[in-house]
Amino acid sequence: MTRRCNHPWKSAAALALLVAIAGCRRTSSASVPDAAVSAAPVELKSFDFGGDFTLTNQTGAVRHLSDFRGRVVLLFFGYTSCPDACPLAMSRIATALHTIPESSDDVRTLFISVDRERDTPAVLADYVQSFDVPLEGLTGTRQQIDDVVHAYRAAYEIVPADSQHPTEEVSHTTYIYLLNRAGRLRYIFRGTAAPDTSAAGVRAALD
Amino acid sequence: MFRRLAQCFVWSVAVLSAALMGPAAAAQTAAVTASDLNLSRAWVREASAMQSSTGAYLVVTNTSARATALVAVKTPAAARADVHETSMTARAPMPGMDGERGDVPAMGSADMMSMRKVERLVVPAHGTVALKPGGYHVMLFGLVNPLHVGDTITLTLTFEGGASKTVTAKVLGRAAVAYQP
Repeated sequence: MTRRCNHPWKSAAALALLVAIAGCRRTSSASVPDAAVSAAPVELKSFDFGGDFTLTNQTGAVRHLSDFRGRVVLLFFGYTSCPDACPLAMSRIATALHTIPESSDDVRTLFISVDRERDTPAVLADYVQSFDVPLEGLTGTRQQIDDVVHAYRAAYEIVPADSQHPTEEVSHTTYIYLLNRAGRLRYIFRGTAAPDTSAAGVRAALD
Repeated sequence: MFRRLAQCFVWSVAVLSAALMGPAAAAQTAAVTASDLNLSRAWVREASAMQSSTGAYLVVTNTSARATALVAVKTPAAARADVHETSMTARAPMPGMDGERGDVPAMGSADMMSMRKVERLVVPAHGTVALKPGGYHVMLFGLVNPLHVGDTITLTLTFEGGASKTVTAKVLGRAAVAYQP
């Protein structure tokens, strides 16, 4: 008896550990339902979506993705009235890029607005200077915006004002798309990805 | 002997019950008051004249033994203030979007970012709730004036039972992700 139970705390600790492991496994498999777009960068094996586009930037100039050839591009769909998720994603991108000195020359971040009614070039110009990173704000006709959204398999929905939301709001996907110097889609991050994660993707794309 | 043991048991149960139930009973009768609540680290995201709304953040601490809930926010800086939660929900498929194929990553099934109004934000007994980017925030709708970095505004929070408390929030830059003293 004494031999079998001379370290009861050990068996208790082992049991607690087992319970913890079992608990963690269940939690992680439930909260990450698909492995394709995860907090960790996911390298795409095939590049059959994405592609060039035509939009207008914050100065009113027509912009194509091909204008950025030779640079790594981070692409984000959002809207400037977005109070929380968009500035958070932009700030995380800025934090990531600040760890990469060559990014100021070699990386451009594009904020594509899906809220063309409110996000005029002037509004975008005010917005992009808020983030300490080379950032272009892009808008376009409804068709041009929808074409890019569709090409990148993003999604958005404009939610009209109602009793819950006194102003119009926009639900949207918050992926961060990383395109390599040739303009090809290479990684997709969630907007909530840690700056270290997106920085690792940018470094890999710059090499 | 048996009687004494039984008596002893009864007394133990009685004493233990009193010890356990006493505080709980007291907690149920005493409402959470403003002095039980502490608001800190309040800030609000800057907003230009072109923006009609923005988000505010703070930490709510409840030092009492009773849970409460944040039920209303008012500020002279905006026509209306509501607690919202940034939440990820199942995405609406875009019209004409192809089905997922084996060679293309299946985009997440829970990746549409939207905001949900929170009518009752529970603050647990002896607990803290942080309103922070990516989670809970106070939405300020119909801003009275643009909010410039360095300005301050006041937020008055009302809790279940009527306790209310006011905090001063600093305006931080649009890129801020956390409170900065």
